[in-house]
Amino acid sequence: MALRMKNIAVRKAAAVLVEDVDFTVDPGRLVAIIGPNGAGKTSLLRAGIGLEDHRGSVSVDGADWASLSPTERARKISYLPQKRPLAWPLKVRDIVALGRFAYGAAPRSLAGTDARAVDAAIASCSLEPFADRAADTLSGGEEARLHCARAFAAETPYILADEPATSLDPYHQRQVMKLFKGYTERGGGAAVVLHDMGLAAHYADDLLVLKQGRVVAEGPTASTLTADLIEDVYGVKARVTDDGVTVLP
Amino acid sequence: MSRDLRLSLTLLTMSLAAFFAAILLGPTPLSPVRALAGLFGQGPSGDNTVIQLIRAPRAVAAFLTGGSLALAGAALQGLLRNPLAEPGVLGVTASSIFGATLVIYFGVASAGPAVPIAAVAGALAATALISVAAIRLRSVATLILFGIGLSSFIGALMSLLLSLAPTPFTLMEMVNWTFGSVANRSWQDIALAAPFMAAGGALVLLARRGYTALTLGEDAAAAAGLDLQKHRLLTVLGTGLLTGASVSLAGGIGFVGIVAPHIVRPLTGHDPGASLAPSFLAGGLLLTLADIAIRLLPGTAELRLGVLAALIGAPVFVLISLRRRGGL
Repeated sequence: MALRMKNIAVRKAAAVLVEDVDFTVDPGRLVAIIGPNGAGKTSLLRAGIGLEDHRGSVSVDGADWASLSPTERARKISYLPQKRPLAWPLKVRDIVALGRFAYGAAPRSLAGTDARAVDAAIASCSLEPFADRAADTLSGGEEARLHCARAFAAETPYILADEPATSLDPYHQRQVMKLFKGYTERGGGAAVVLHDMGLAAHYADDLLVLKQGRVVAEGPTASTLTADLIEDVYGVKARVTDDGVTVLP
Repeated sequence: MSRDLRLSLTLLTMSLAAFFAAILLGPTPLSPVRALAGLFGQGPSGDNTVIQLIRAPRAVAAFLTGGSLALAGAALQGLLRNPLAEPGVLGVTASSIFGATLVIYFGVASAGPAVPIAAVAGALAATALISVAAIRLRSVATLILFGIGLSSFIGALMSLLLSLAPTPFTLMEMVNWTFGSVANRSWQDIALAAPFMAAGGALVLLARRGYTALTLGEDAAAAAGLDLQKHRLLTVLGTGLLTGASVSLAGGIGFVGIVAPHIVRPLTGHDPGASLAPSFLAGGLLLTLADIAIRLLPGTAELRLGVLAALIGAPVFVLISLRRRGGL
């Protein structure tokens, strides 16, 4: 039982974006994918769920990804894209209800399991006060929680999230990471792209470190995240202690 | 009763009232009782003829044309995630008119369903082109510019065709198409267009949940379980059929596809999927009312429906684009 990506490679024209990456997300684990801009983090996630042409294979709990229909896929993995456009000012509850799309649910006429899943997701992300507000009136922190709630409403065993905490203040970054931590504690497996190594050090069980499309390190966060690794990957000096990561000037 | 159903029932009631007004009003004054009797063939034969063969088909043609164009507009707006997308703005109507006039030019217009088929083919060619462009062009603003370019190009082809018209009569007939009107439409005209409208309507209604999912962009929609290619195909075919059939029935009528969904959207929680059926009803209602207004305006020459629709619709288009948050 796991989400497994094997030998994933993504090319665009002559550029190699991802090269032979093996990657596993186990249930109950929070994996942080880190690496500098252009390391291939987004391409890896997009390829993993079939949004990007790629070589390699993906399996979810033993099922070959290529053999699954779009609906079956959506019931296995929720995906939070890095860019989160909002074409129409739908209500918060209706956006969360989009998480139930693969179950045939339509926003504003939810019933049974769908209604319960949406209510639970709204509650778990503390969105009750905003449930009937237009989504384009939310603050950045509220909006980040909204997209988490949509992913949780799908009740998938795995979530792939591309920079869910970027451009949030430290308080809201922690709020969002706590939501993912709660999700993995309930048995879900999550892979989260992060730029903040302090967040990775604090919340991730495992790390996958990418540089120029290749894996340069992976393993449990405590033993993988070292000052040498950070210098090698990002070209900056850092101090790694039990309290977190400090990037030195 | 859900709010969406209540909205649709309200619009349906208003549409029926508008239909009744359309058969009641006209150059021959009729009382409501006489109009109703004429509608069901129970009045004097003169009344029956006026109602059954002139006013009723005209009102139905206006309603179906407005409804189909509004439905096509709502679907394109859902697919392209932009309230300014519409068959007219994107060049689909122009392409469809070109298809129809081509048939008139070659003098085969009287051959059964030749005009509807040519109009639908022209519309489908344009929607297919736009959907291919939509995949390549990430910016909807660029896509609308693409539509304007397409309209201009087809406008040039139209001018070429008009300048080559073999007889003054053919020229007049072709020019009439471009204006847009539902005057003198027969039940046969409606019967030729209606199947295409029904098929197109069914296709975009099948795609309606996808428009809601696309609210969060293509990546999120695909990951949520939407088959993007199948969905795009349904929309292209559906809007092509709807627009082509409307053009074959009424010629070129613009902006209903923008105005009707714009009115309906806030009443359906801005859900593009839920706004389809109410948009159809609102579009039909708007064009039925516009056609009544045309018939009531004083003057010897009747104002064309397409002209009135553009006179009202174009300023609304500009207003929507000015008030839109975050640009195009």
